[in-house]
Amino acid sequence: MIRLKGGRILDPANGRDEIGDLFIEAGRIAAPPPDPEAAARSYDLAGKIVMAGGVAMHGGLAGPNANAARALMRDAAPGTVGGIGLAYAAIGMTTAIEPALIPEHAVETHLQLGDIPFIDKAALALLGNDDALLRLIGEQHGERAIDDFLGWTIGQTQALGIAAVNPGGAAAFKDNLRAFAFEDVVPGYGVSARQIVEALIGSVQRLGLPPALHLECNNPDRPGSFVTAIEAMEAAAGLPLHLAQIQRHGFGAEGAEGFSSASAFLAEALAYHKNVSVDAGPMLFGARVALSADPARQFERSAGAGKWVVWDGEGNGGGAVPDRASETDYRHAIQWAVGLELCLLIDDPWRLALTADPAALPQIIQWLMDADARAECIARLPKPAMAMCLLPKLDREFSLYEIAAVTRAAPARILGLADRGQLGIGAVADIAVYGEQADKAAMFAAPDYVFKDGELIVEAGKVKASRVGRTLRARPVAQGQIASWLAQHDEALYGRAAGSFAVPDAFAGAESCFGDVPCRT
Amino acid sequence: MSAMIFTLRFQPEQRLDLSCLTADRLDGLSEKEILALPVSTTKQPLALGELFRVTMGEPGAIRIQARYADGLDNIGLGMRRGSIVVEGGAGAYAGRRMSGGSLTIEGDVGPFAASGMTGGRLRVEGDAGDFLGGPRSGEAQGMSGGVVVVTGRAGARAGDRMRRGVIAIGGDAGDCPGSRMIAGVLAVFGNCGERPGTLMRRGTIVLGGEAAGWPPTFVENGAVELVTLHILATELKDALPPSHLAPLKGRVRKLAGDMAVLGKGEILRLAV
Amino acid sequence: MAVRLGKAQATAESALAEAARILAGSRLALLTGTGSDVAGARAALRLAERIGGAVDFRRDPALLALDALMAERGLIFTTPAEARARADSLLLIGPGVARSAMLAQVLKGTPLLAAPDGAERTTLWLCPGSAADTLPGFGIQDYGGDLSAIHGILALLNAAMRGHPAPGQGFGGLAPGIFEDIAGRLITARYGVVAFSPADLDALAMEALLSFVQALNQTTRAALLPVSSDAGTQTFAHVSGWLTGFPPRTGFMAGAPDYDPWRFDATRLIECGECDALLWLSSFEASAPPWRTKLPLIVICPPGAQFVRPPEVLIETAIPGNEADAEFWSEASQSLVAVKAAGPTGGLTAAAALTGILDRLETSSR
Repeated sequence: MIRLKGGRILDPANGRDEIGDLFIEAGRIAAPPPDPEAAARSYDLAGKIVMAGGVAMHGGLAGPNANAARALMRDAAPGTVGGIGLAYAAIGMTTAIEPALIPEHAVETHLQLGDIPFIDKAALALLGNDDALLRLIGEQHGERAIDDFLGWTIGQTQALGIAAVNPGGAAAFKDNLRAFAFEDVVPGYGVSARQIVEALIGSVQRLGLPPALHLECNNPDRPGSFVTAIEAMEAAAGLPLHLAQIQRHGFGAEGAEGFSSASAFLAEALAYHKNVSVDAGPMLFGARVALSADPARQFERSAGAGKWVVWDGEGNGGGAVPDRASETDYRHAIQWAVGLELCLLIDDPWRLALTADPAALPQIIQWLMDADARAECIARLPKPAMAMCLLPKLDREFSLYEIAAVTRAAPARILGLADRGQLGIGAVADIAVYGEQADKAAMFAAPDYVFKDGELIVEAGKVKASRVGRTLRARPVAQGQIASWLAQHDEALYGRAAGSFAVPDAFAGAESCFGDVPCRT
Repeated sequence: MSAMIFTLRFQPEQRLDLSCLTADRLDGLSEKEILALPVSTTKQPLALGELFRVTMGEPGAIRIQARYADGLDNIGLGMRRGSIVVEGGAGAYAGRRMSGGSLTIEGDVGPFAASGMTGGRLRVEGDAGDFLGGPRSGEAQGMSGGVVVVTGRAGARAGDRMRRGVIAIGGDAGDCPGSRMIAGVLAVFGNCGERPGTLMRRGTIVLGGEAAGWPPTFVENGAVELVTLHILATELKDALPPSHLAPLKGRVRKLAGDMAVLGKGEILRLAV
Repeated sequence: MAVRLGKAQATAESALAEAARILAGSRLALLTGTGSDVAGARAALRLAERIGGAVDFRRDPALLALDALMAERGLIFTTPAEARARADSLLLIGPGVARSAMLAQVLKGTPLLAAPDGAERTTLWLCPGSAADTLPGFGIQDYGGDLSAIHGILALLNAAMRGHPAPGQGFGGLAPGIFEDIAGRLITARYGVVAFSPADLDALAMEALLSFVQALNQTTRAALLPVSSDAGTQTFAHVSGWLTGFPPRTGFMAGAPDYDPWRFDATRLIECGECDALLWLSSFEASAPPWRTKLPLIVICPPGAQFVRPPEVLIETAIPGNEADAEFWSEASQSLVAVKAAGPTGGLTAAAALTGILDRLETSSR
């Protein structure tokens, strides 16, 4: 048994903010033993902040789009799976999600996830631009068929849940439609984004998948994009829905440049739609590679880029486009502000997951916790852009407790990972210990200790133990009746056997890396 | 102040990474520290002093005495100032990413000389390998500044993806000189191989001799006399013999292309 | 499956130990061959990292060129399945596309997604060479054209599509007007696909094709479909990408991977005498190194390879997907797939052999 002694435990899921001890046994948080002094190992954490291991909701970890980004980064510093795992672990994030697993590339995606060290992973399977689903909706095969199809997809792809990126829009892009709004119809199917979203939300709910539908709405980054996000909230009609990368939908069309912050509208709508959770990934300035499963948006981004990858898959596809976010660029300044505004305006931390590249997260946490740090950055940005934003007027500062909520408790709850993001008895002993510092970016970049499944993996920036985590998946109960329809469909259309991309329970020569997450009942 | 001299004592068994021999890297180092600099390119460690005799001097003026040696890579890699003279040839990547100073190779150089160069002067008194001034495979940027003179021949794809600066080749060039050029000047005073200017967007290729084959997407644009070529002749007057440079001051035949892409580049043929 | 030391039969244990001894004593060992499955590639990379070796699993320089193109300029592409279902206009370049069974799969389908009620597909073939008759029954329009003139042909095609001035006469065995004709068909297509085998083209020809398709996408939709069938090298490139950040050719002398396709070209390393040990890994086919060399040689491949001189160490292994479960690159889907063994033999896998060597290196260094 390990004892973490006398730290300040910040555990929003259990309503705790107090000085106390934690005990670890067999990889889990254990009840205090009769004799705490008898613990085999004890860490004196007086003055330290103790949180559950972080849960990164929207990672961009693996698969063909990560490969494309890696190729385009070849003359800089291309990432590796080892680097990804280390980067998360080093800042105390112990679970990360690949939010856009492309079913046809499920095998490679899982092989890569399996090679990411230290942390636990999970993938959300991408639907909503694939011929099968559009056909099932358009030809009115009914809820049961759609449920079977989603259940089958989860089983084949070993996913935790379902995601959609620009539903209908990536399919329509192949028909040369460059923009796709919520009520627009995919040519050839007569199905709108709204219908796709409604079908997926309902089916995910009926199957009881751990996370709600993880939706990246249509028309991101554009003026007026907030309208699409609000339309999606309304379409959920009270059922659980998760809107991913919400900062890309916080734009209005006001001002001389026709591009402004609309985060107030979004935040207001979110306050009303309590069934909707979001993740927000405020950005940093500097070089970056935009990675997405939305080929339409990636093609739009490619204008002016020196090199870029865009590809059309059977469903989504995607691509990667390197660029640079500049402090002198009007749009970039607004994009930066909107990401932070949304975090500051959403007052229910339980419905907000803060998500960003691990290299960026500590800086973003600092901006959320420190209005002066924000003001410093605002001062460097174009004044006309800041005049179209709320950020200069917002003085809210996140508490450590709220940070623990939006980086731990809330994402775990949103994902349906009951034993993570919290420090209650029986929870997975993923723990991050930080030394309190005034400079919050420095504090969150360098935890004193990180435990994964009760094992010390990082101490003062040094790796103490290498380990390979699990890949979390759901196992919904679905009727297999769709299989024969799919077999015919895939043979006729694609000339392949349905499920030719299926991921086995264990890869060749290896033990199974999967861990099961119970469905909601 | 006298030069710092490095004399190779025998041909090593492996390629050497001599990127440590620049003014910036040597400044302030003692003789002992210099002799200990690692130059190995395999897992077998190798210190400079195991192969070279060193005569201490000013690191701003380096002489490398290595006649008959090959496989001396990365000479002048990233150099920003001072001068380096190689008495002998250089391996791959001579002057790669150099931004200032002067590098003179008295013999031949391997591939990727002046790769990604942004400034300074490289002079090669023998022949150059492939991709003179070009990017390494997988890199987006070719040469973007500085002056390269090769008095002998150059291999294939000289000036690939060049953006700025001048490359002058006194002899012949291999296939596809000026491929994918974005801007800048590539002058080949001898003949060249197949398809000069393939996929060039902008920029200028000067060709003194014949090409073994032409892309069909360059179009005749008349005979002209160009001030820019007079300037080029002046710039190169100490670097190449007058007989090479004289035709720059006469009328040249202009071909516009590559029409396969943007088509705003030109190939200027001397001796109309 | 045999294990040999020179001409003599040997135990797996002694072969692994001898291989480890050779590699441990090398200054620069080269790991090369026709590639492996995912587990084999992963193990080979760990071994290369451990011994500070060089890795080149790009026997086909064309794949290297395609890969460099993606890094330097990007790519716009689609998948075979989507091409089959959607492409109403398909342009084939060069004879090599016909070597791929995948292309027939594409051609067999009806592009049901190209129009609400499906559409007829127009398939054009440029420079088919002697392969022109190998795909009968698909109504392919054979334009002819000389593959050795492919650069000029693609240049004229680009110029025609952009409306740039270019000489109006024929070129490369193609009649005048053909370039405008082909460009026009792709411009008016709903979804055009340009399929090619990298082996037929060089870097500049592939870049010309990319440029063509990028420009088409300013007004209509089109994508490239590179057809490559080399399971072993493609698998290796993917695994190397996610584990090291780079595809081969890489060196691990300094620990961190050094990506240098020029320096770590297997043929160059051997011809210049820069490596002093050779590990040949060829999981899908019984093959021997193509070089005549006196270097100490370790071979890991299925039974049946013919050698000029017996390798110092020969470890025969099970064929992935055939004799052992495995994950590897599928030509049909152009993605990695997991394949159950058709007839599992329980024989040694390449991954097990390589891990065995690695384990012995670890033990001996302790």
